[in-house]
Amino acid sequence: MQIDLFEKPKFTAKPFLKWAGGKKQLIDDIENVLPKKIRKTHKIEQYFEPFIGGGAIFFYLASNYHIKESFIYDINKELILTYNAIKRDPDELINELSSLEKDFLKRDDEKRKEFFLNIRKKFNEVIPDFNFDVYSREHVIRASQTIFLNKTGFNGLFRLNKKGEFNVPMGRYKNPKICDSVNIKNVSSVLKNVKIFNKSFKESEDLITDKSLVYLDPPYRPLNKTSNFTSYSENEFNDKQQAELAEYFNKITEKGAYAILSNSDPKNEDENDNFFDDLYSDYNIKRVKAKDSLKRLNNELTGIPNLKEMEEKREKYRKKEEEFNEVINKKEDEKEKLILNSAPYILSFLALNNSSNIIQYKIDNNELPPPIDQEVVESALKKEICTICGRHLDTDSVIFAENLLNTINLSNDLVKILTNIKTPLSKNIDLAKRFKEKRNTIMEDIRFNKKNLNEVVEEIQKIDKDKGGYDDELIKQKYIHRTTLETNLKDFEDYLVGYKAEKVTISNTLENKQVIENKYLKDAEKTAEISRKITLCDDYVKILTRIKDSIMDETKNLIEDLTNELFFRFIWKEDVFKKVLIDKDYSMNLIHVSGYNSLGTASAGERELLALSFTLALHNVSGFHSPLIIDTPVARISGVHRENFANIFLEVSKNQQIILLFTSDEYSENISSLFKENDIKEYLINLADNYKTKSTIGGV
Amino acid sequence: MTVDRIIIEKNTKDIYENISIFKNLKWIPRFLITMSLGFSMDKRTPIEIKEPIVLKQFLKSEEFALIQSIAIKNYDNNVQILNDEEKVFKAAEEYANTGIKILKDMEDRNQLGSFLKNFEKLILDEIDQLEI
Repeated sequence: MQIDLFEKPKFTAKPFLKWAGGKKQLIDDIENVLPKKIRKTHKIEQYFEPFIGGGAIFFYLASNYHIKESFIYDINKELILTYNAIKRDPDELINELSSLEKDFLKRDDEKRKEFFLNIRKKFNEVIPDFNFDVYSREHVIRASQTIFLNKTGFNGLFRLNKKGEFNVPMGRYKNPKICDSVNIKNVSSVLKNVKIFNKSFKESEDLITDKSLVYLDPPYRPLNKTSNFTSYSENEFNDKQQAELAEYFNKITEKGAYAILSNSDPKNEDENDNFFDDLYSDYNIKRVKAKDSLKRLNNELTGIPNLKEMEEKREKYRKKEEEFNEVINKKEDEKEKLILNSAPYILSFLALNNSSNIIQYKIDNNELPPPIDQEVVESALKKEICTICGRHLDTDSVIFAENLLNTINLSNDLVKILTNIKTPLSKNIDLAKRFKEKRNTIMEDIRFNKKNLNEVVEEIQKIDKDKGGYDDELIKQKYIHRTTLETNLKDFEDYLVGYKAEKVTISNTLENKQVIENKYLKDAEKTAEISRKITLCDDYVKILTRIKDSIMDETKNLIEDLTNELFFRFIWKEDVFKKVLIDKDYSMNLIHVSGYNSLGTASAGERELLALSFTLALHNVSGFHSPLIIDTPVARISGVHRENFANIFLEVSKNQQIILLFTSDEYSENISSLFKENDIKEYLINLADNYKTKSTIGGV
Repeated sequence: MTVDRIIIEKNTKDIYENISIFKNLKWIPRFLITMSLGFSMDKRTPIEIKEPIVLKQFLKSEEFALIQSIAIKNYDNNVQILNDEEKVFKAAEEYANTGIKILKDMEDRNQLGSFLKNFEKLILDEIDQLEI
């Protein structure tokens, strides 16, 4: 016995979600590029769809081909959860969806929006804590919410933001079909033997063999930079991923798998864009325009009656036929009633007319006694007084009244009868007379409706005649397919309008941002320039500071050296001081041979000598040769040292003009003689009288 | 003698109940149709076994007037006949007794569906003849 391992399609399933980039319109094109063997035998060993999405191609193949094994993948966990829930619990899902549908449809527009937002909020709220890994009843509820949001959301989109939240606003559908129980059951049956994975396309590589048919429908590469709608799931699919996919494609085809991949054509936007041509240069690339499938189908169906449309039309006519028949039957009933009600009066018309004429004749000839009040006559006879004029009745009057009373008694019954039947007789005659008119009105209505009925019947017969000889099911399928394509095309056109509007908004935003960015860039450039200048200045300052410090150090060192040189040349005490140190702040240190600073303990002469050395060094180093004035130069110098100083002054004066202001006490004979020997100019200054001395300067 | 109910020939009761065009009618309209039909044929058929069908008090004034007019015509336009209600109804009942037989005969002779048409034709012929 041979066992057929192929799962024969028993159900016609279709996508249960409306999915951006669904491939219903490409079914023909994809079917045309299937391997010949598959097209001929309608058998597929292994089918892989690593980007299942809405599953249009998969459901088509599963409904029309015998597939032995199927593997479907998607990185979108909400989508895979919904596939699994349909697969495992279609009935529970139908219950949930049915309940949502009832709740939603019974509300007015405003309340529907509230309901939608409430479901969306619930859907998004549980995301952080939701356990996608362990299947539970919660998965069925979540799947029902996913389908509900997809069917009622704007344009039927299912789009998640980066946080994985559903962010599509409510759509404007009058009565959306939320719970398509038949399709859910069919989808569930199709999925029974399908392996479903919430994994990346790459994970499928290991399972693919040379017997595999792989259809890849990755997120489209955006046709331009501003229309980036590739974020079908929160995981983006950029050019890097497209390149990785091409690598994967190479690997699986090297294994011998038959792979088909569809993507957007960037050449539509930029004919020089060879992105996919380069990536897939080793493969056949077939460019398909979305409208091509529709055009081809239209050509196929030219001259072939649209059976579905005809059946709908026929059903419409059939309903009209029922309506007309109903009206005609009603009118026939009305006519029957009229005939049976009128028949007695028409058939007895002679009698009615005759009686009516007799009564009228009797009235006209006063044969019917006037209506007399019997009680009035009886009362008058009894009282013998006329109740009308009040006169006493005489004998003749009494006799007349008695005869009148007898006449009344004798004819009263007949008169009553004749009088009573007069009006009913007239009514009956009238009824008989109006029969024809009434009947004609009814007959007119019947004729009118029969005419309409005949037309409708003729139309039905014409449709039946036109339908004859065609393969009903095949043509019906093609027409259904065409309707789907037309709907999809319209949807795409709607999307396009939306996307174009979004593109304009994004472009405007981009322009605004670019203006701001340019401003920032300019500011940044200015800031950088200023920053560079500041740095440069800082560097200059540092260099200058270093130079200054260096110069200052050098100057100080020179001054220090020269001060030492001069001090130790002038000093008459040998071996007492070691050196003179000058700090950076120019404070002086006189280092004793023992190593300590002896400035504080130096004598006045030593100090003055140090000061003179320093001043002369300063003069020498600075190059500023101004005269040196020293007031009372030896006032605090004692005895023999005064002459030492005088000699020093003489030595200094060789290179430098020096003015010494002596008091008389200071200017000793020894000093004076020494100065005179060396041709030193002397001036005597006499202070003024009011200062008790005379101030005059005179050469000596 | 006071007449308190309308009578028919006993063996015609089944006919009344089964004749197709009478299926939705009550007894009084049925009686009026057969009576008028008998009158139009100017033939009275005496009743052998009486079968009361409805109380006279249920007759509307127009219906009673019709019965009375037939009696006047039947008794040579003598309105005095109206004082004798027994005779008035006797005439009506005997005409009806003729009428039901004619009707039965018509139904028997016509195929289903054409009975009403023929009856309608009879009415229309009557209208033409009497120039109503």
